[in-house]
Order: sequence, then structure tokens, then C-alpha cells
Amino acid sequence: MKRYLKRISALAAAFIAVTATMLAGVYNPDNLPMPEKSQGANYVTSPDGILSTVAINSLNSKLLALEKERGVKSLIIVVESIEGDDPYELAINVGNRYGVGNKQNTGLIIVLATVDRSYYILTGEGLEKYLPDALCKRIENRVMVPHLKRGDWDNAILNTVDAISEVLGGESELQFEEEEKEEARAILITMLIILTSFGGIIIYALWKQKECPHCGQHKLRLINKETRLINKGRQEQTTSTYVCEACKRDVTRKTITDIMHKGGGGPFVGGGRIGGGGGFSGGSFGSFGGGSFGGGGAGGRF
Amino acid sequence: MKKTTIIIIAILAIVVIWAISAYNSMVTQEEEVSKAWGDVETTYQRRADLIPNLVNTVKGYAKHESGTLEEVTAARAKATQMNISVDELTEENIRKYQQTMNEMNSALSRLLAISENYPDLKASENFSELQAQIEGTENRINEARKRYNTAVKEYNITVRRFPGNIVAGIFGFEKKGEFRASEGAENAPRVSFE
Repeated sequence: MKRYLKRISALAAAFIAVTATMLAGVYNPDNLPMPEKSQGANYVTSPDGILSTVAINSLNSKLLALEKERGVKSLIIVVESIEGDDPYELAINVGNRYGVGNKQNTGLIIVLATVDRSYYILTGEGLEKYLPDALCKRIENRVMVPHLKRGDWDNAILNTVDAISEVLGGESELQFEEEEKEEARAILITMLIILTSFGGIIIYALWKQKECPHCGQHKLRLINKETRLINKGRQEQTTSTYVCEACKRDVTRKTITDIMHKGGGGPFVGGGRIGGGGGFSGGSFGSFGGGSFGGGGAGGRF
Repeated sequence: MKKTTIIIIAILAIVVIWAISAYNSMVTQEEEVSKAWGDVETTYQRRADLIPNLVNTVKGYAKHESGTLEEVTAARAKATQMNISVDELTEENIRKYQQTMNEMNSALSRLLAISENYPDLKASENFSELQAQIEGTENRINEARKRYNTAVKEYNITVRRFPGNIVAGIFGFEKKGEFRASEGAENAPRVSFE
């Protein structure tokens, strides 16, 4: 029995090894490795080692700039072959699975399959108006394909990214600024809500303080306030005397405050500070999430 | 006696609250379907809008293809006239819509096919970019249809499953039609990359 198991596992191992070698260089959304997030902002996946390290580094810095300045999150996929031989399918499936881009859907995916000899530029729905399909095609025809025909993969991708950056740079206001505006508005609204609720509580407390325990009307007026130390100086007793303007009776209230925690007096102890909109982080650069694709962009073969 | 009244009232209240929440989720899901359907129509419209431009471009190079050009223009006119509101999204209407759109698509692919015979046309940048745009609309249509089908599937499950179907029956939420892949697949234009 044990021997059989051993044999079966050996066979399975051999089978896995064979399929792995067969599949090397043929990618689908499941086996395509994503850029390592641990290495900082990383936008390029080139598992077959087609792009040079120099080109990858250069692309990463260009694409970091694109993300910082224009809010466009990109992904570059360079492989030998694509399962089903459809660069569009791969791009849109990877894009929607990992949410390449952000909530404004300004994601950008460039796919190149060197053995299939196919390419595709996929634009997120928010990017389509700045980078329409026809313009993608023009960039491919004029910039990308000439390099591809020479087998110069590095420059094909580098120059394409440069051309796209130029197009997007010509736009004075892209999604990124809108996103900031939206964030500012969210902070403002939050502040407003906090201030209104605090104001409401203060007004309610003041109103409550004026309530006469005898006639129930809110017409108490402060006429005298005395403070003395009690409990060996550890506590402070404040005696406030009010007169009710409705029923003319006197009301005396005593409050005891610890000296240690003495605040500004009244029911509100301590000058509370309102933090200015913490927790609005924009997400780290180079990480994906929230983007979706509607099928924009263009592709072709060379 | 009093106890039973209270129990009956409590049960009735629970049923009413459940019915309200079931109704609300149907409204939300129908809204999703409506949004997705709007996207489907927009993407088809986008494709139709490209046709006059394409026809004009081809005309400049292919003078003897007026038959095909007229056919495309006619199919486009027919397709743009077709509008289905959310309440009419039955299986039957979806099937008709799909058929009309497929007629436009096959006329369009015939036009693209004849352009293969004109090297000057094929080489022109204008035509290449138009072709890319048409291909883009095809991709967008597929995505929009996929999203529509997902929304409809979810909606149909809510509307048809017991006991939600009782609420659906009372308020008139009807099952909606989906796009069927097989019908369109054989004559969907396969815009070549060449």
C-alpha cells in the first residue's frame, strides 16, 4: 500500500513538473505573477525576463510619476505567450480581478506578448475620455509597432509609456485633482458634522442648566458663585446660586471638581481638541484596488 | 384571548416588515438591472455612431461597394430606432433586440471584410483608428452585456425564489430576460487585427 502511494506521488510530481515546463511562458490571469509590492512602487510584471532590469527600473519611476501627478495607476505585462492568444482578454481579466486603478477607474494596462506577437493598451473607464481608443491605436501604430518590428521590447514599452504620459500631461486637470477636491469636501463635511453636534450638545447643556427645579421653566439667572477647597485641598467645591425669574425662588447648585483634573468649569471638563480629518489616506503608491475596466483601449499584432 | 391577539399582531408586524425589506431589495436590484441595461444601450449606440464615419471613409476608397454601404446604413437606422424600457425587458424583447443588433453587426463585418480588397484603405491611418474604435465598442458591448446578465441573474433569483416570489407577484416584479451567448456568437463580427 505504502509503495503504491509513493509511486503515485512520484508520478504526480513528474506530471506537475512536465506541465509546469509546458506552461512556462504561457500565461492566464491565474498564473500571471503580479508585481511585488514589497519592492516599493512596482508596476511591471515580466516573468519571462523579456524586459531588461534597467528598463523595468526606468518604467517604475516613470509610472510612479504618472500616478503621483495624474492619478493613473498602471500595470505593464510583458510575457512570451498568452493562453487563448488574446491580449485583451488577459488585460481585462487581470485588471478587474486585481482592481488595477482606483475608484475613478483611471487604470491603464499595457500587454505585450512577444512570441504571440500581439499587444494591447487597455484603459479604465475614467481614462477613456483622455485616452480614447483611436489615440491608443495611433500611439501603437506610430510609437510601439516600429520598435516591436525590430524586436526592441524595452524601447517599445518605454516610448509607449512616454507617449501616453505626454498625452495625459497635456490635460491640465485629470482625475487626480478631482479626487483631492472630493477628499477636501469629505473632510469639510466631517468637521461640520462634528462641530454641529458639539454645538448642539453645548446649547442643550446650557439650556438644561437654566431649568428651574421648582417651576420647570428655563429662566434661572446666576447671581453668585463661590469656590473653596475641600478634602485637604485635593478637591474644589463650587457653590453657584441662581434666581428663577419666573417664580423668584433661589436655587443653589454644588459641584465638586478634582484639582488634578480641573478643567474650564461647568459640565464640560477639559478643552477638547478636534483632530483635523485624520484617517483620509490615499492608499500607497503602486498598490491596486477599486479599479474596473469597461473594455476601452486598442490592440493589434505586429 | 388578549394574548393571542398580541401574538397575531406581532406575527403580522414581522410579516409586514419582512415584506417591506423584500420589496426594497427588489427595487434596488431592479435599479441595478436598469443601470446595466442603460450601459448596454449606450455601448450599442456608440457602435452605431461610428458607422456613418466609417461609411464615409470607405466611400472615398471603395467606389463600387455602394450596395454594402447602403446595407450598413439601413441596418444602423433600424438598430438606432430600437429602444426597450426597463419594464419591457422580457426574454422575447431581449431576443429581438439582440437580433436587430446582430443584423447591424453582420452588415458592419461585411463592410470591414470588403475593405480587405482595398490596400490604400487598409493602409490609411484614419481607417486603422476607426477600426480600433469599432473593436473597442465590441469589447465594451461584451462587458456591458456581462454586467447586465449578472444583474439580471441576481434580480431573477430574488424575484423567483420562495417566499420572495409572493411579494414580487403582488407588486408586479417580473422575471427579466438575459442575453444568450449562443445566438449572437455565430455572426458576431470578428474584427481582425490585421
